[in-house]
Amino acid sequence: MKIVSPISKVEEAAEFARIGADELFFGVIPEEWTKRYGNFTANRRSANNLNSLADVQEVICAVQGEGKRTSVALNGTTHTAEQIEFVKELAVKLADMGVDSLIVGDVQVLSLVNELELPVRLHVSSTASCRNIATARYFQKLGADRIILPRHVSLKEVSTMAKGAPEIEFEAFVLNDGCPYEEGLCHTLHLPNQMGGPLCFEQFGLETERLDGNSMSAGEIQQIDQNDTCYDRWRWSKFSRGFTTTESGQPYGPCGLCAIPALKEAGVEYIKIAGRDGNTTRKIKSLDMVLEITSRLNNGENNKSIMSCAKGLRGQPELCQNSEMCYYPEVIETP
Amino acid sequence: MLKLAVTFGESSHFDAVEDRDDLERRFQPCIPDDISYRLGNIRLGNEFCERLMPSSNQTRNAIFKADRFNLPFSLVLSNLTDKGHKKLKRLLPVLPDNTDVTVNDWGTAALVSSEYPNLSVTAGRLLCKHLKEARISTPDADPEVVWPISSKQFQKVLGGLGIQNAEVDLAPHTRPPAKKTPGFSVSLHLQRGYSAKSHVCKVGSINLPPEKKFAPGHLCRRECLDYVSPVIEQPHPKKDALPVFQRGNTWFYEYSERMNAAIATAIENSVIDQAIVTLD
Repeated sequence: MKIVSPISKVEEAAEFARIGADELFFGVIPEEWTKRYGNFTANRRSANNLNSLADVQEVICAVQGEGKRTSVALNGTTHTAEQIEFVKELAVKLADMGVDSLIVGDVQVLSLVNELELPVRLHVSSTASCRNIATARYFQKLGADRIILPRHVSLKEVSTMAKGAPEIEFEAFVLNDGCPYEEGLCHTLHLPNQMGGPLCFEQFGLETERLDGNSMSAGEIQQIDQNDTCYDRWRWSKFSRGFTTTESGQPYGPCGLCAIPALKEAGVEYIKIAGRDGNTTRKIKSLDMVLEITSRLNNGENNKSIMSCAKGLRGQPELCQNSEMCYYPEVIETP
Repeated sequence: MLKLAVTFGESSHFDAVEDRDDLERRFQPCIPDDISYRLGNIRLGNEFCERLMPSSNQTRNAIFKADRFNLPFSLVLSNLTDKGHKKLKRLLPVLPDNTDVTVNDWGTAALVSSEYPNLSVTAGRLLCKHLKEARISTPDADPEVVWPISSKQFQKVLGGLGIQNAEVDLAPHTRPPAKKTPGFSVSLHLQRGYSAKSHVCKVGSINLPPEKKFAPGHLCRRECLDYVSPVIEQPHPKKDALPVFQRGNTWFYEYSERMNAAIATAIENSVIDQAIVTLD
């Protein structure tokens, strides 16, 4: 399986390629975009992008000789007609520079870049919410070479899509950066804290009530309170347990390390480490964790042993006793 | 005169409607004042969750009842997994010719367009994306720019699938455009817009054991039909923030008086071809 890893600095490229990443993905937002459109970004990150197209060129030079690929995220989910033109020009420049692939999240961008017949592969972002074979095939018809699956997807759904459309490459998340919502169907802004913060941080008070206007029974109230507590814990895990790491810098969930063998069996060829926003240490530790699992898999180690290794990697196997950190929680039940 | 479509997300809610007068009584409070309309069609189905897709039998019954009300029937679908497609393939043959099907993912759009040419396809609001931040409702965005179907490239994508109908909701920070989008029939959702949706459901996990809660594809007991969760306290309230609530896996915002007035103007100017009210 090939490992797709994030970078946000030029100097990370050569190092990550040397450590074992097969593909590097990153964002770049030209100054002109920021001037015109502000923080409404071209790639869902207003920070932690490469600084310029010159940086992109440096990354390409640093890794292409090593046989590694580069992908640029242009995965905003909505664009105005004017923004589409801007993205089109950017796509042409990136293709000319020798970027291997563009990650797109808006069907308009996919179709437009495909029409340009650029010498660049097209990867459809998780933000395009591909959830069925017909969508994968439709995106392929519009030029997609690869589908990056959404975050909340079951292994059964993954297998159905990958086996149902074997002519398309599939990429699945295995580490970091969860989102409680369906990214491609969230149309809110990650506002600054003084304006309420991101919606998913839920820094507000909610009160559940019955739609029929009746009062809730004591049992209902208790059940809802317990569910809310579980949800808050789950959500906290999706945010890497408050964006923390182990003492040695390994990130907490979301995690799908022990599902890597199942993903391979399902027909997934590319596994994604998310986390463009993380610092270099966090990214390296993430890459190390995934490499530990893929090397065991490549050496023919059995799935049970690989899962056991995955659960022990953070030195806190108790974290894996419930499914809160899991990208693919069903693996926990079927070791 | 404005054409009005009435959506029932759940078949039992349509079953409870006695006659057209009863139907009118139910949706009347949802229509902004001073808008003259004619009832256009009955829609069945949910845009946000495939677990609420009606069965073939429920659909047959709804078609029969809509016919009794002298109203065409339309089917509404959410974004679907392959499991949903299996169910859909049993459901689509039940639909009479020319039935309109609102689709909310591209694969379903392609599937219905190519395999069921007897049906008409409408792009739902999950496909007609735009920024919708209920905490910023200052109407400062140029509607001609941010209206989801104003982009020629998007129109081309829809046209490639033979789609000429699109559904939108109104973003808090803008108003409908002054002119109709040429070549497209646009339906606008009244009352409220949606701003974010999840693939897992908080309230739908109430009856699940902890290890099964919030897992992709988890089961539920359709708790979204029983509960709603309004936001009652904002730490940084803004005076123009809209009321928001969570229902099932989705966040909604209520339109403001200013937004409803803008919609009334758009209707008056024939920018909107159809308005949709949802009665659940």
